[in-house]
Amino acid sequence: MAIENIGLSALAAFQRALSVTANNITNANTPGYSRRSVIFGNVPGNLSPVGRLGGGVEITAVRRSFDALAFNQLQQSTSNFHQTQVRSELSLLIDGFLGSDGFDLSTPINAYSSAWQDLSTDPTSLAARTAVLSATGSVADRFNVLDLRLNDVRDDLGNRIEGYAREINGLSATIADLNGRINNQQQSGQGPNDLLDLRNQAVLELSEYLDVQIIEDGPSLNITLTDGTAVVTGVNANPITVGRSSFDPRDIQLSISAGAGNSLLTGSNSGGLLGGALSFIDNVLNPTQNELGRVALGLAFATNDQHQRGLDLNGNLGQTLLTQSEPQVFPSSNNSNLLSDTTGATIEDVSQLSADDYELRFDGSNWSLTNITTGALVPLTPDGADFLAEGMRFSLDPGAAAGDSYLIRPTRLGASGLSLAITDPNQLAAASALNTSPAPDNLGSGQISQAQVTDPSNPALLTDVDIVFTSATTFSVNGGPDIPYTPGDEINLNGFQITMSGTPSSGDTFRVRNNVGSIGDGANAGLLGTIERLDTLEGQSLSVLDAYQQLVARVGVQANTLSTATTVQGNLLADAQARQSNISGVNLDEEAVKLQQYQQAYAAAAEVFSVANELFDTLIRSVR
Amino acid sequence: MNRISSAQLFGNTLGNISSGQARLAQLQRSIASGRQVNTAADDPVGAGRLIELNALTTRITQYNRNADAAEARLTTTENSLVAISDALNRVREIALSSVNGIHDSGNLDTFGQQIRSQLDAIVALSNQADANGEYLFSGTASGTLPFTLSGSLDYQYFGNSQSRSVAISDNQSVALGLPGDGIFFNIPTGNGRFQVIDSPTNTGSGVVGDSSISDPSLWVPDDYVLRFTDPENWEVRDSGGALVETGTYSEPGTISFLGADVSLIGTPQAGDQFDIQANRLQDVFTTLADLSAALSGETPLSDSARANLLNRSLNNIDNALTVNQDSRATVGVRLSSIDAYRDLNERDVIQAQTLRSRIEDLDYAAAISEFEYESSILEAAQQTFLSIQGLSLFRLL
Repeated sequence: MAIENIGLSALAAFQRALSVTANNITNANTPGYSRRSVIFGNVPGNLSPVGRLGGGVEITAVRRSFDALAFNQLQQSTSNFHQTQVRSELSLLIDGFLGSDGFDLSTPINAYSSAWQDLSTDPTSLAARTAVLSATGSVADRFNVLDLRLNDVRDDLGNRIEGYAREINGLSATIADLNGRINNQQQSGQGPNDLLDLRNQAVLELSEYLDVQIIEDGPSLNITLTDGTAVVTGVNANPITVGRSSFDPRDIQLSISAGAGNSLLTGSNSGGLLGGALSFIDNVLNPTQNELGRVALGLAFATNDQHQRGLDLNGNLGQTLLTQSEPQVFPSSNNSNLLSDTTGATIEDVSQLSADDYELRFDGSNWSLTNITTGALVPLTPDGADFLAEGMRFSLDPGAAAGDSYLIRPTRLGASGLSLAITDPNQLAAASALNTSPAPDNLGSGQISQAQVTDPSNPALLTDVDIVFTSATTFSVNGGPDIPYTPGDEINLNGFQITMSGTPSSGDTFRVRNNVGSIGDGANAGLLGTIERLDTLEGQSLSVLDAYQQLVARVGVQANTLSTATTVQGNLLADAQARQSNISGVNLDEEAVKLQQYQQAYAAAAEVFSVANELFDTLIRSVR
Repeated sequence: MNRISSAQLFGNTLGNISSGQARLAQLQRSIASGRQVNTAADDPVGAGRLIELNALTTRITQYNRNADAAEARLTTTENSLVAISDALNRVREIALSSVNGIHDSGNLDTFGQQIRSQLDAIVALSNQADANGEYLFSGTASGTLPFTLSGSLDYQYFGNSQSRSVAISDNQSVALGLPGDGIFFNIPTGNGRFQVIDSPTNTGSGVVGDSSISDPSLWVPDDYVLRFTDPENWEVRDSGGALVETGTYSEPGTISFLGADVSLIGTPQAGDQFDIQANRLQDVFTTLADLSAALSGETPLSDSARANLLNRSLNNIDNALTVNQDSRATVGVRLSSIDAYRDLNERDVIQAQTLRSRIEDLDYAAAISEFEYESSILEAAQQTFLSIQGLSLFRLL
């Protein structure tokens, strides 16, 4: 081999090497770029008497520095980080207004109790009555505003999720397309380094939105969800369809058409930003809004229940003070009897309500109720033609067909549906309905308790009742038959309950009178002032204020935990990025060294030419 | 692996600097607001506790507002009761002076008029309304004028026997007032167990003095009739007409039956009767009206009948004064209990505020030193970045 040719091969090789280095330097900041290094090889030369002399240098490969394991770790950390981060961000958003000064529920609820207490000390004061109405309105307002805020978050999430789905569809189409082009290039023998980088970058971007598994299939990358649902297979991408729930058309429902049928995307099988958003809706937003509704219903129920047992300034029994919303019932759009459906649900007992959602199903002969949150089957207790369960009364359509189903949301509308039902301050029932007293000339030591109204709808509730002891051991009510007397026994009369104790004498009289005209009585207002502390929820073990406190703490714990988790995931992602970047990234100093190295080699190769030239000249001169 | 990519180097620095800045911003927010807990996520348990403590503070502060309202009303009630007690004592003095000594009908008429004007004063005090226009003594029927005269001497009560009570602590409430029936009506008569009333048809001069129950174990509450069969002999029959006791009488003497003693002066005539009524109640207005009418001669009475009425009235006025004193004692007990609870409440509020401040308020010393520490870290990160970014081979080529 001629020296010139050897020099020439070197010049060509080092020039290429210099251009690879230059490319590395210029792409030092390109995302997804893997640095390239040049592999030189000796060109085998001709056989000579002293053995084979070299034939120069050639570039055998331009190698892309890439490590599949590091990349997979980076891709996993990317989806984990984004999933945690979006949940953390959204939880902090809710936490930010739920517990903040401007939105805090406990302040207006406390003010509401105080206003009732004020009224109990001064029941004839119009100012005190107006203050109760305005405090009650403020409580309802605060519930409404909080619910509105949660709905804003829900709407915003709907838009975000649609956006995520669009991005995912674009990226999976890109990956499928790159799969095809990489396949073609490899078949035509060219090294598809740039396309591989592009495809990896697309996979990485996809991982931000979705937690995916990568399966190498020859030159193609197949992408699946964690549950195996195919997203990209070879050159085919399966797009995500954004649809609406068959129950509540306002609920977004994502599905992916893969293979035989459609797979639903949920928080548990998606991951990334999309999975984070979906699981936030299921695990934070829905429970929070339901629980807020339950607190509102608890307050409304307890308030109304007590208010209806009292008398207003006009001497009438109290009315509903706060409107209570009923459970939402969504028939599936696939139901057979959509037009004539009469299935409905009402609240029977607030203390039995949960903050979960339910699915009601008919299999042709039996109805069943499933708690969607826990997945548990809930027993239905027949009551006449209806069924009772979870504090609700279900009236079921007799025309239902097998397979019909309904989504039940018991408390979702509780907070938004809360409103003040009374505008006339005189209609506030500050007085208790009844008073009891012993006749002043009673001789015995018998005592009568206050009357507890048990049934405000009893028409005889407000009629006068005289309990006369016909002997020391028997009494008669309004001249009726003798009833045996046992001290301490509860006595139920016209919708109220009293207890008598002590030793009455024969002839002693105890009176129960209505409080019509007793405008100075504030006993009912005093009781309404303790509603916030009354155990009205959770089987009468949880007060409205405690329930709210638990809600704030729960969201706070979630936000706190998620923000810690985000830090951890962020560190893991940074580590994975560092590892990947240390393998594939460009180090400018290293490239500077190589630049010098190849430049000097190039200069040396050029020197080879001049040596060859001189050898030739020497030879020519000697024969001249 | 001893290589690090240049982009990574810059990225790391950027990450460190921005997380340092985020921590500084968080600290700055805490220092500016003076609060450690800004949202529940900062301290979920503390945030829950804060809601509880806020509710507690509001509630206890409200109890003290209730206590103030109760105190104002009870003080008004107490003042009225004192004024009424003064008037009753005045009546008592007048009645005593009309019993003692010899007075002509003119004097008695003056006494009667004086009692009448005291009665009017007492009625006015009892019908008093507070600053809100609510009657003090009509129970919870506070819009109804409690005491009105029906007929010439008969007073009626139109209020009820209830009183408004307000909470002054979680499980303690205090009644705001006293219903008028207990103070002015429903007052015991005579010696508290029974009263003795002379029959208007009596012709003798028998006047009843003190009466009492000396042996309660023998006493059976009932309406009895003491009848003189002749000036020396009497019999007592119960409400069924059954003979209970007989005895002889010589002036002054004591009639004793079933553990009860009734002292008598004067000389009853045969057929004279005295009704002995157990557990009767009186209203002080009618008692005073009767007394005034008897003294002023509006109701014509014999001397002995007037003497009997005066004695009875004095007993009844004493009973009314006792009830008045008891009522004032009740009000006093309530007022002192309000004071006690107010002290307790204030202590609770202070304690709640202390706890709240411990959870919510920032420890400035710690926060500021942490701020200094974090900013020095940030500065260090910035400075090292400056020196790292100067270390490039390209600068030396």
